[in-house]
Amino acid sequence: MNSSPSAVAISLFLAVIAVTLAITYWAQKRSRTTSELYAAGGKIKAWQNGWAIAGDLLSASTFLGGIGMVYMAGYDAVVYAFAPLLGFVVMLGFIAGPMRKLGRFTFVDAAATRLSPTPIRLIGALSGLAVSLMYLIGQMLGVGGLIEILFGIPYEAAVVLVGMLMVIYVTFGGMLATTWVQLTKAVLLVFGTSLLAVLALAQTNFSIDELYERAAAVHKLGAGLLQPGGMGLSAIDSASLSIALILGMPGMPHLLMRFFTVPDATTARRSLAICITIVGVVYYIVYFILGAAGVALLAANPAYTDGSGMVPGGSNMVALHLAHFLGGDVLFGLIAAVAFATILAVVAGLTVAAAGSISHDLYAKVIAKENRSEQTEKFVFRVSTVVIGLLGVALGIAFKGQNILFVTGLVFSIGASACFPILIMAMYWSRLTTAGAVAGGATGLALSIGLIVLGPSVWVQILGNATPIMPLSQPAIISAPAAFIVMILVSLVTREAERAIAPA
Amino acid sequence: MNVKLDKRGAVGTAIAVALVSAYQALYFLAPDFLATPLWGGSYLTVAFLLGTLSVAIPVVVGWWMIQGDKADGEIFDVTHR
Repeated sequence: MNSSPSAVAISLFLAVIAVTLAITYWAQKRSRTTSELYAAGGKIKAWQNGWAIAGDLLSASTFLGGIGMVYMAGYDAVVYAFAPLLGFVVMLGFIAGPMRKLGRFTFVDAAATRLSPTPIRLIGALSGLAVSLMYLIGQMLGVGGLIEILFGIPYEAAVVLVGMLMVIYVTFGGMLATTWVQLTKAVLLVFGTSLLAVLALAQTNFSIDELYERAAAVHKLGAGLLQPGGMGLSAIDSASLSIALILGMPGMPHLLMRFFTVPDATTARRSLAICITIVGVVYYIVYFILGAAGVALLAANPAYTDGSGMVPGGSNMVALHLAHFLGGDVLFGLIAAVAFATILAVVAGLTVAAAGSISHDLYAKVIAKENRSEQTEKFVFRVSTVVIGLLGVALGIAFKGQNILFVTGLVFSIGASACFPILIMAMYWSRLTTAGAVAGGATGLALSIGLIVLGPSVWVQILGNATPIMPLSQPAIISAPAAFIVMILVSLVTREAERAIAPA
Repeated sequence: MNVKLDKRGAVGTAIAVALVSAYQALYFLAPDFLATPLWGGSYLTVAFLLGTLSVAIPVVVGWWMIQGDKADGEIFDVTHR
């Protein structure tokens, strides 16, 4: 296949930019107050928020990486489908409703309601900021390479373009623009993946059995492609990854922030049920149909693979090559545009969360306190957005070509080991003290970072050592329980001073 | 302040986590069982069926959890110490 960008791909790429900028222009007139900037004024409907949360979560790594992972490792990749869905169930069962009721703009609001606010906001904002920034850097690194391949734009220019767009969306349109960009992207993603799935199944007369038979016939793993073991994960590695995804998901600040965009707790929970359905459908299509379709239709096709069975551009490009196989330049252009929209929506959500941590949790609640004004807080939010945009661009360019697999692991590990324990214990355990929450959160944060640095992803692959000090690539099985244990022990030996409930 | 536990949410979460964890445990305890064809000559395996269920269960449990929610939006009791 010709890898140069088609006129269709470039036209649809420009159309995505035009539509998202039009959304921002429309939202800008409706984003005057801090409530509108952070939370779209709390006026988003359940179905809108459900689609927007799905748009916030479903990143390019889900869509492109998921199909590529099945192409490479086979059936084992499904752990990346059910574990995040379980994370959403935990979020729905324990977090979403109380979060909407207790908080105002950020997840730290809910945790700080009954504990001493300054230390909780510091540790909560630090953890949240670490998650948002790491996630953002990971997305920016992916963005440059992807857009370079899809549209022929140089890596550095692509990173600058995405950085500029995300700053424009968030600075001018705030959460309202971000919501509609995410919603639009989620609709495009469901449409794009469904279209690919229908066209792929049409190749086998809509027989999934035949699709899997053809996949097994051409892949190097043979029938093993459809059986457990393709990724070679040990039981403890697999359990640790699942814990990170299940407990990390309800600790993601950019997802939690979306619950403040709806009017009440019932709507927050309803929107999450809608989101779980959308994400479940996309995951099923990606992991159970398109992954197998990529193998069945491309792996032995000399027009799309080299001698080893790999497609040009690596496994992340399987979805694009599959689109080209099924629908030529037009479908390739459409799916490329969907991938681009996917990236924009996720970085916008992360930017709102990171800027909110700085302007609301740190500036308004810790630094300025009674001296703050709405005008100043809005100004700090917008300046923070620009700074985060510049930081994302600078780090995206600085880390060009680096192996960034550890970033995703780190993000979910911090979410599971710092954000989630603070949040759920503050909500449900009356004995929790500020000292316990801070000690547990700090333990989770430090262990997440430290153990990942000592693990195979950084210690061996980046720093070049022969063997890792920490054998697990995902440390959540250690760091998350450690955070809870420290939180409980320190709370049991300290006392919390009685104080009035502070408004968020 | 403490949030009163939503029993339906807790039960639903426990069911979903238990079922999907059992499926994941089978990966390591009984991989041969998971590789069993669903019917004679089929390339679809028990792993495919259980994997499908592991995606469907969170969706079904999610909708079941919100069935008891009140329409006025005030669904969580928050008690202050």
